[in-house]
Amino acid sequence: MSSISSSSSNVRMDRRFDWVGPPDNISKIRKIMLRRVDNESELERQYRQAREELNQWNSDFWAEHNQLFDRQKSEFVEKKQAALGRLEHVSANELSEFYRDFLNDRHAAMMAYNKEWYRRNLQLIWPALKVNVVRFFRMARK
Amino acid sequence: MVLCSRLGFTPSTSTAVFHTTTTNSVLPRAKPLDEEMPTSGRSVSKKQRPDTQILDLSGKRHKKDIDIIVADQYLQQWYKMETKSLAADYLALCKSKLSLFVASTATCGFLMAPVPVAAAPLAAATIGTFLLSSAANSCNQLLEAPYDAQMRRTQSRVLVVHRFSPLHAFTFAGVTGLTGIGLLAYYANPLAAALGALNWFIYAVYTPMKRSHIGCTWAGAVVGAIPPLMGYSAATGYLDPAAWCLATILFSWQFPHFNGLSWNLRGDYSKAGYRVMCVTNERLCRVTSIRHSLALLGLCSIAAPLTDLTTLTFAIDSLPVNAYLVYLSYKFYKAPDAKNSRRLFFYSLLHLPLIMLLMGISNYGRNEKQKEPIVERITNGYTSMVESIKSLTA
Repeated sequence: MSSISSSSSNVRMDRRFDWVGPPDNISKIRKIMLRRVDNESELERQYRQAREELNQWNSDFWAEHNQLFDRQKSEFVEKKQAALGRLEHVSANELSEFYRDFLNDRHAAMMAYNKEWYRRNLQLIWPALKVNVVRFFRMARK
Repeated sequence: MVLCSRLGFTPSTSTAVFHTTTTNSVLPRAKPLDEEMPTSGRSVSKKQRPDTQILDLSGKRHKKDIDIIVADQYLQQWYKMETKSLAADYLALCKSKLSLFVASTATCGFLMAPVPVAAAPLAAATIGTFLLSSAANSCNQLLEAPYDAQMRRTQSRVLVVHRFSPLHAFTFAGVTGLTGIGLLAYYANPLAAALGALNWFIYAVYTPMKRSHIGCTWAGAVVGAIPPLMGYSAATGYLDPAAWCLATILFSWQFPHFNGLSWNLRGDYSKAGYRVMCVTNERLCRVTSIRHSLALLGLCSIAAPLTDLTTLTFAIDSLPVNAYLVYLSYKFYKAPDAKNSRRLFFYSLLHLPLIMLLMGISNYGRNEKQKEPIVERITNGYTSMVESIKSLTA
């Protein structure tokens, strides 16, 4: 599975623990790898994969969004700089025009992302609860 | 490692990077999957692949031990999802400093109520408000983790660095919130508990609103205005114009405070998708700051003595405090830059505690009990406090 954010797909960690990685350069989201056992049940596997996928999906969205921001910002600054000439710099108040327009352009996409993020995040609470119960009983049996 | 310290934390596995603790027998053994096993099929061998590093775990050589095969140069920056100090992380999750500040506004509301001070409701109001604020902040962090990751100001929050799982944060929010509501309902009164629940709900609505509508700042200001109402109603059981005046003071305060804070972070807010005034409508941002500073002046000096919230002395001694705020807001309005906004923000942090202190001082001596001679007042106060504590523990 290819993704825009840098994928450290050849990192393999001790499966007994949950791991958190460094923040991605572009998306700033940290990669996670959740723990699993030999006899992982279907429920646990689905939960683990759903959580990891959600994190990756977040990372992909933000990578794309941030790249767009940086690209549009540099284009804006170039245009303004060309208009200003060499002696002046683009001021903070002129940049604020860009900030406003960028936010307005991205409004629809951000709203869609936000809704999806809330839905998927809250949807995982119930499976998380079930998985914790399963793990608790497994540990209690030992 | 340098990157980690810049991020403000140290990974739990410090120098011994993957030196896991010796045979923790409670943890289940996870057999690596077939595709993860090195092709030689043996345990830690002398055969080193050119681009991988095979690390040994805890010195023991079991055939089935998990080999960590890493080819990522950021190896050292991976760390276990665990907390070193649960208490510290919980305090970070609930934004303890902010919650304490909110609880102090509730205490102020309680003390401004025109009734004798009783220990149990006071404690309930303060602790209950603190717990409810913690719950609201935990919910906020739970829902905002990817957004917090984008902004420098918030990138080391506990859920961004995955100190614990979302379920853990959700449970924490639930437990603290319900405990807060319960405390308020039982030791104070149901009105305070209802206001607390309402506040938590408004905060939960305000969180997504930050991304959809500029009105989020007003919703946030309401969230800040309700705690004094909670304190007041915890003392008295009702809300009168004096309480509303106090709440409006806190409502108006939020605007110079937030606008001063957010002005310098416009780039970050825009990139992270927050539709706040300073990004979407700058003129409104500057105008509301000065508008609400003037409103504060009017509220403290005219409305407060009029509604019998405070005495006339407060109207007078709050004048210089508010006048300076108006001055800084005006400067911010005329010349909105980094320096003016910072000064406005930092002064707003000083302004509110000062106003609350002045209010408390002006209110001293107005309650019936406080009109008694001082010796009697002390003994009566002591006996009533003891009685309150007894009824608390009974």
